[in-house]
Amino acid sequence: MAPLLRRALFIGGTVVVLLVLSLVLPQTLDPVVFRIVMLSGIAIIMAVSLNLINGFTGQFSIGHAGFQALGAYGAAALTVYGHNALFGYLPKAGPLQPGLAGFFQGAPAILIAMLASGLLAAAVGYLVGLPSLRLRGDYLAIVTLGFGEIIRVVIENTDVVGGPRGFSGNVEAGVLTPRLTSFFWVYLVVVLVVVVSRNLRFSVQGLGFLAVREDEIAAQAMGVDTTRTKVIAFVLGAFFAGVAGALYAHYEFTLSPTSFGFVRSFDFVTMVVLGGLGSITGSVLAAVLLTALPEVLRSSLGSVQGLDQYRLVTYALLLIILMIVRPQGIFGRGELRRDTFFRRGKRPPATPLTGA
Amino acid sequence: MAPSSDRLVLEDLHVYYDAIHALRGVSLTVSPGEIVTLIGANGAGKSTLLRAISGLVRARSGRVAFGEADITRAPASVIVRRGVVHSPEGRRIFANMSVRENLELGAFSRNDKAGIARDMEHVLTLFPRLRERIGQNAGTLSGGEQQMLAIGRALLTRPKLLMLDEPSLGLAPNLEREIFRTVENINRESGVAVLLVEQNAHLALAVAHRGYVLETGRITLEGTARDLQSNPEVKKAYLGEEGAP
Repeated sequence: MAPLLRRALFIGGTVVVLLVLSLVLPQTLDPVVFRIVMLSGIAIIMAVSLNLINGFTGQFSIGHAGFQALGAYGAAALTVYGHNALFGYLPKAGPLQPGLAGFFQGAPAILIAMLASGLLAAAVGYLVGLPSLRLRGDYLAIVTLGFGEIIRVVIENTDVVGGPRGFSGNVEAGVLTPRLTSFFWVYLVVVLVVVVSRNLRFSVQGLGFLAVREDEIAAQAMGVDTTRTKVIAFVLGAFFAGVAGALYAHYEFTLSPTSFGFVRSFDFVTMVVLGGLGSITGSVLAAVLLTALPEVLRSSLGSVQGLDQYRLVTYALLLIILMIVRPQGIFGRGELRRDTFFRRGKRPPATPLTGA
Repeated sequence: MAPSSDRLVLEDLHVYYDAIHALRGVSLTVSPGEIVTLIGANGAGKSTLLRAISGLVRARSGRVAFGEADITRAPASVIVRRGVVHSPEGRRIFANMSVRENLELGAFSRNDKAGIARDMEHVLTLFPRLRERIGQNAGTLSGGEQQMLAIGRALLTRPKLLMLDEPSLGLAPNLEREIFRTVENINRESGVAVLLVEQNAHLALAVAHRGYVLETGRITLEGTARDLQSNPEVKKAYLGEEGAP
């Protein structure tokens, strides 16, 4: 099949499948399960985008939730305060129209919100990343940790977005954060971030990313612009974190600054490490696992009187056991690819290299 | 690999590591097609000199020129694209990547697919062991094979001037000789200039055309390899021939 046709089929197929699921799933799934599905999707975007930074280029960013916060508050402020000027066709409060009509009603607004918050996070990521990424070592960890906290403190002290009370809209004007995020948008971005990561991983450019992780001096000696490579990874990661923020904001309706603290940032680092630093598949799996696990533990332990209080202990224990059993992460540096299923153990033959 | 008319010229180069004055005014030249060796004791500044040329450390003053271009302040990635390529000390291959990926990274700065394929074939012919292990993780190679990979990777950048830092480090004597023969071959066949930093002054002076002696950041002697080989001070300090018959 011609590559162009294949690409068109892939895009078309993805859109149709996601759209159908988006209409069917909320009606059929248990609300609690559907909520886990949605939060898992947002967590996947966060983990896979952090994997670009921490996994591919081997940097250590621990402020990823800060970029999500930036995207979330930025997007919510845009759709709430821009309601009159830009999004007057949306209801001031309450859900969109049901079914496909609601999809088209919300599509332009969520697209604009995602793009704006992604760009905002990317721009801030550039400013934060550039000075520290020029240096080698742990500076980035310190800077991103500080950045995440600064964002939280700034939000807590900014009254237009609710300050410490949280933000659910412009209550005086009666405009609440619109409920724009549907299954379709979350998983469209999931597909996008996975495809972008995967294409990067298996390109020459991506080889440069991995070289920076392996040995910065050697990468430089081979002509890899290490600062540029790290900045690209960082800005791209921040962009997707911002988009994830926009999705989160229009799913949760009420944002609270405390939900983007450094504990949240560590959740994402845990996902990337648990999945296997550098492995896209691993990040996806770990994001789902760590999002679903607390909920599963809540319902399973909660059924026995008094066991619920051990939920977080169990969660931590499971993580510790997993890291002892597989210190390289669930997938190590590997990926789940088509030949993992069809030709297990047998790698595709290398391009024949005949003697001279 | 292209022979070229570009000459490396260093003028009064000074490099500091914080307060330590590592290079104290080094001037030297490497002409096209030449093998030049830099001998000196540990800590004399040999590796620093290569790092300063390739842009891995910044010179505080002085000048590095390659051909027409002043590359004193150019970033490392630009210097590689100009054809000045540094194979750093300790080989520094990408241990968790395959042999093929290591070689592909050598060609990172290039876009000419056909040329890359030709050079890849050339390198694999030069080092048949690499062809056998093309899909293997580079970390699983023996020391000698890793050195071959480091040189092969550097060759794939299509260098005009190849700077090798201690290519014999940690190798068995027969492998040392093999590596040096290969360096000689590369230079003869394709006209790549070579700047060779080496502890083993015997071997280095045997393949080089000219040499410099570096002592605590200064060039103290220079001359043809033959002159240096017979220089009593070099004999005493670097060839260990004091009192030899």
